[in-house]
Amino acid sequence: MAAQLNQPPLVVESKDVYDAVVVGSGVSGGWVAKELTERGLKVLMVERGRMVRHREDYPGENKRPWELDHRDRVPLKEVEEQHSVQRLCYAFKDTTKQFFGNDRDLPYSTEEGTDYAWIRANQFGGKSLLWARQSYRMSDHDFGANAADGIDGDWPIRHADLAPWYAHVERFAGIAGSKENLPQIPDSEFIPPFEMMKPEIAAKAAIEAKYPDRKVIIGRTANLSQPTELHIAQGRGKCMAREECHRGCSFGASFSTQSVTLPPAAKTGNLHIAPNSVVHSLIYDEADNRVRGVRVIDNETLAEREYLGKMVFLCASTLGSTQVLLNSKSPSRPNGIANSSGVTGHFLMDHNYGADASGSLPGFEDEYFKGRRPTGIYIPNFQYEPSRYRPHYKRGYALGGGAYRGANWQGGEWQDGLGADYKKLLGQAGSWGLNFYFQGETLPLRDNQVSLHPTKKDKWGIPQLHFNVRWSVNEQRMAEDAVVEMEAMLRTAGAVDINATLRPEPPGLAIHEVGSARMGRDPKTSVLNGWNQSHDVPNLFVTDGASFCSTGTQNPSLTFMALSARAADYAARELANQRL
Amino acid sequence: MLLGAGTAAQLAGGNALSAALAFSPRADLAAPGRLFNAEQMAALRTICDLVIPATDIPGAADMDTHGFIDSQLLDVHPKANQDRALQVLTDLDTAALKADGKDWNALPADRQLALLDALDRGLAPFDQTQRGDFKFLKGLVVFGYFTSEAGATQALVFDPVPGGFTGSIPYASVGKAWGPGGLY
Repeated sequence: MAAQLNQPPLVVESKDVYDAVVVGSGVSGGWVAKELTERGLKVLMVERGRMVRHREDYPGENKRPWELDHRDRVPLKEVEEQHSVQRLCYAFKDTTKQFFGNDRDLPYSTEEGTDYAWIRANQFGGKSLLWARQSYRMSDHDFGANAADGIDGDWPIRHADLAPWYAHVERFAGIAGSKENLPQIPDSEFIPPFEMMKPEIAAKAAIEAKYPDRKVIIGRTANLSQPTELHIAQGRGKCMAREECHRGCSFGASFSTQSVTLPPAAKTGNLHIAPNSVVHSLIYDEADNRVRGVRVIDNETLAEREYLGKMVFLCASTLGSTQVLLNSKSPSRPNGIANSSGVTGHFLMDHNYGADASGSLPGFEDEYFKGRRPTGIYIPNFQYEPSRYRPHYKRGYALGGGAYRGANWQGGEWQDGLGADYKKLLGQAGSWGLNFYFQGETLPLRDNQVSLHPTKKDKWGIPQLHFNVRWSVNEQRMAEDAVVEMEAMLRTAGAVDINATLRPEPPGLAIHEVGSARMGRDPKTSVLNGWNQSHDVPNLFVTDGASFCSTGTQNPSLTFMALSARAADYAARELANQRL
Repeated sequence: MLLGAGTAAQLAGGNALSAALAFSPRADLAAPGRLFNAEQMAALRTICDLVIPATDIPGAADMDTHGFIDSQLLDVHPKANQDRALQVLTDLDTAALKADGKDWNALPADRQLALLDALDRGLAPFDQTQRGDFKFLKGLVVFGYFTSEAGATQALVFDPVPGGFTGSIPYASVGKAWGPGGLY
């Protein structure tokens, strides 16, 4: 485990001019830092939150339920005072709360009549510590969707541009999944898939027999089902199926910056890290039309300082990077740097998760499983091209889900009974169930905008973000279709007592926010070119979800990784060729 | 074998529990709580014992589930839920006084069981609202017990580090439900 001994130096004040300043240490920033440092570049990674060290700083890990005062529920007073928004996230628990932002310090506003859930993970590693690890490539149907639908904002890249980079990050990260040869989700370079359970195998057979356009596959996930020699050399181990990913995984089986991208970057000796450094804005040289670094406010002392670099990568999350862009104003750029198009902040998207369905599955009484699988089953989008669209809305949705067999004690109070027999009954496994949840694509709409609030600021003196985001009728109709289809497929799989329902959620809660500094071929209608490079300022890159032109139905993080690695490779070459 | 069992165990044990932070059964199982006074705690302890008694393995009262409920209600639940739990104790006292002329705590065990069973099933003298309040409290008893050490490791099969996922095994080879782990 030599990699963990390579702790990169932590920086506070520095006069160095780094080859690159990378803002953010999550999925995107981690990949950029790894790729740049491995190419010999000196990199400063700037993180607004505290340092979180692999294994040392996972206080929730391995806690038994009875060792937790409140059995992993978070005390109400604490929730109300510090986590009024973060509480909405399914993964917010007593053992994970240290990786969620403190809402008291992270205010934002919403336009009247709208709602937005902004889930924050402001520490080293960012949301790579909290993500659900579902990993799917986007296809040419996704990259071409805006063009096919006649919607402005074509992606300037296609799957072929990203394919080698998808392969690169997949081999290194380790994506467990099955080869399927599906046009809507190209296969990754997989490690072995996690197993389906028998009721899922039966459901797959029944659903695929009735619906030739649909496939039921095992969810593709960045957990090491079986590590390769490369993963072992990284100091990572096999997934133990503990379901403790969000608490921090000391086995390194679950992808995080800490377990995957930091060790190789640290090993080069080229990485410095500046934690507790909240980026206020970019330093811009009007004469040269180049960024020179970042202005930073200390997270704790509120002291101001600057970090300098030959280029800047914004990897601060979709909304974080957008906030920095908008707040980097100069007399000639009152609407923020790199925003000659005026689209920064517009076209903010998320996935719509506002529907689900579940039912009981009779039979399989002798079937059981061992371990807590870090993925579910998945039905890829079956409305992935215009000829497959429903007549009354565009695009489509994927479905996540899975079979489950809980224990009788869960909800056991509704079973009448007292005493020894009741106790024994509650200790038995219950009947099987099968569920699906909806993952709907959303359209890029100019009116869905995040902007800087004109007057309100946060404690670091940075203008707060103001959200004006609504689901459109397209997303609503799609969710209604999903309710009908989920119910029909559960019935086809033999489920009974089905409950299929809309369950509206505020935008943002899928935590797949993307699109607010989009790529494009035309500098008049996009912020970034096909290399995630600013059209306006050549040495400025944005490689997180802000760069997306559409959402697809896929969980976006794998694409963040591929875009980041590809952009870093391009930038390193451009820097070497003195074009930045 | 790419990751040896020894390595796995070492990693799993690398993040040791801070015992000081843990909820453990209180030394005096009869002591008053923070929400419930001594009499109310005695009643709650009896309820725990009747819902999930000691058998060949400890029961809910042995695991101080009443102490857990006291702390959970006060720290994690809104006041409305605290009031629901207190209402259950009032309902039992009222019913006991009317039927037997005694407080719930003073009833013989068989009468306590009969009244609690009627409440659980929504039978006279209890109505469905009262039954609903009890189901809420009973849910805390069940959750508290099956996440306690004896509940999780003896009434269930606790498997904190499964070592991997296997999609199909005979239920009989386990014989009970898996204990809580991860996102329970």
